[in-house]
Amino acid sequence: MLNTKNKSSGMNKRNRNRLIFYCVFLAFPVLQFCIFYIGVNFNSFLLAFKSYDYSTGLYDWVGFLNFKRVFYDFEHVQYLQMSIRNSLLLYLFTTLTSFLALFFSYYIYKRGPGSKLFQTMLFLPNIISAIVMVVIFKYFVERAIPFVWEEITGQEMEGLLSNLKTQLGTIIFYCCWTGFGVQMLMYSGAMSGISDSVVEAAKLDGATPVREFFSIIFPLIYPTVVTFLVVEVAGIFTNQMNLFNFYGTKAEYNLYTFGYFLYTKIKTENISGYPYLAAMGLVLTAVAVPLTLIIRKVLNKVGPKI
Amino acid sequence: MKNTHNLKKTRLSKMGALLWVLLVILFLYTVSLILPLLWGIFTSLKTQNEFRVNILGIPEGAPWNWAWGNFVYVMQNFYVHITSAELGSVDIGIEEMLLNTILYAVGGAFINTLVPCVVAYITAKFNYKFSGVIYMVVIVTMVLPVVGNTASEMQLVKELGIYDTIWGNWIQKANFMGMYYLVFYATFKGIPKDFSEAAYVDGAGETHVMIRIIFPLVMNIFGTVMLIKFISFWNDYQTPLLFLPSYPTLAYGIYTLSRSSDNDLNTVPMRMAACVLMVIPIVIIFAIFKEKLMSNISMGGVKE
Repeated sequence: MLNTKNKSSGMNKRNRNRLIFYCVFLAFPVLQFCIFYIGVNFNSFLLAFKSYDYSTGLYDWVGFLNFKRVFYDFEHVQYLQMSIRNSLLLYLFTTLTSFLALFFSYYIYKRGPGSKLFQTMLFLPNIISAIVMVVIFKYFVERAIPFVWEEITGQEMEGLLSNLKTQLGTIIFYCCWTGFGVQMLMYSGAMSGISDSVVEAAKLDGATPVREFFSIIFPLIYPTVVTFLVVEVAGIFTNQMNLFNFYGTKAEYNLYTFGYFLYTKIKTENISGYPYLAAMGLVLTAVAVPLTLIIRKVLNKVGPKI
Repeated sequence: MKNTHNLKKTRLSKMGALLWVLLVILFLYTVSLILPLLWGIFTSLKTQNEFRVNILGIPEGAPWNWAWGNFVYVMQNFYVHITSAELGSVDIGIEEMLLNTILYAVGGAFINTLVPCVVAYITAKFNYKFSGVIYMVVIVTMVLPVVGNTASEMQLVKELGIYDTIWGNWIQKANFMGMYYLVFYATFKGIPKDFSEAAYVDGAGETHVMIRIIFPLVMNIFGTVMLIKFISFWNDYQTPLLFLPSYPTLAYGIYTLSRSSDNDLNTVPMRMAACVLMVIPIVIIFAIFKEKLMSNISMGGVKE
């Protein structure tokens, strides 16, 4: 009886110690989450309904005034209209990049000649700082390419970023060109998880690589593909299209994206500008959340069945 | 979580049309990537006068006569001019930028890896209801995109008095959310209870079991995640630009250099030299840990 009592008191002590350990080690991360996630987002929500008063140095409630400004600006301000166009255009091209990355991953999965080298090269832009890549790319397309063109054709050529007709295309090309790395790794990682016996069986049945890719590989890694396509939807509202790397705060209005607009405004505005940006963020979140969920649902529904 | 992929290499003679097309595209891609990088390296080894007449070619003369002095000049004269209430108007040189980069990247990477690791361990091993809540919070915050809350974050860090401080930035980074929490969670769930139970029988406490018994088992994954974060923070300049304006990092410096027009470094060869200097450490790290980085990452997990 005494032994049982001792055992039970030992268990209680251990449970109490476990609970203390649990609380002590979770206290800081949970507090951090409460302040920097819940607090920040809740504050952002409140900020959207306020305005800064210079005379008192405080934020006052202004109701939906900031939202009215946001919607007015969407209708009348050129760079916001351009942001819609460019962000959607970028989404379209990054989605195409996703599919290209899928094929590249397939080549690496099949361990074709040079696949190790190609894997490294596709990942290299993720290792080198974006600002360094952009500085090199910028001078390359502004100086080296026009020089080569002039040498070959004898005609003068404007730099691809200086020329208004080519600058948007050049920047989108840059984003796609440097955007394969992570997706390639994830896709080839997912492909390497496919059982070899499935692929070997298909091969014995005479499946060509095209058939193997579309009938076996793609359906089996479809959940990974969906994840990337869904993440890219959120990118519509956050992707800066590397504009800050290319132009700092001085990009042309016709190049703006939402991500660039929000970042540069925070960089350049003082605290009086924060409520407007918070309202803009709230409006964009209100679009982004349902859009993400809808696209996720649609992709899961229309995907290939295994 | 071993890699099950064991397919043989595909030989040139056995490649179908699809793989041939992909080979050609990947070859062109590799060339398109190497060309500008090589051009950047060669340009960094030219004088400005030489660059004016020789934009594309390799530097003239023997390699030992190339403008290696550009790198020395950049190291001696590369600075960022900052103005802050605390420091006044000062120039930050490359040594200090390197120190800031190390503090920002190493410190940030360590904290940003340690916190998800600890929280994942606790929530995976302790079956309290709150553990389930934390797991759900991570999933929900990953699925739902919140846009444009940086203004609010900026206001908050200013009010908390941690704006423009390195330790404040570490606190900002001490969050457990994101993919790597799930990576650690899955790993801890996969570790059998026997390891910890044996230690409990020997009288070990919870902290001892976590730090001395379980964490050494996941050091490989911890290292990989920290390396990924380190590279990301080393290259990041937009966060320091917003939250640490008085602590310019090397990437921040390159950004400033790429925009400046008021010093001797405002030439293409000098800018390229600064870019090459910035990239060297990270390329060396990549070369050393390439296999670990490239083979250890997969969606929702890090392979052992």
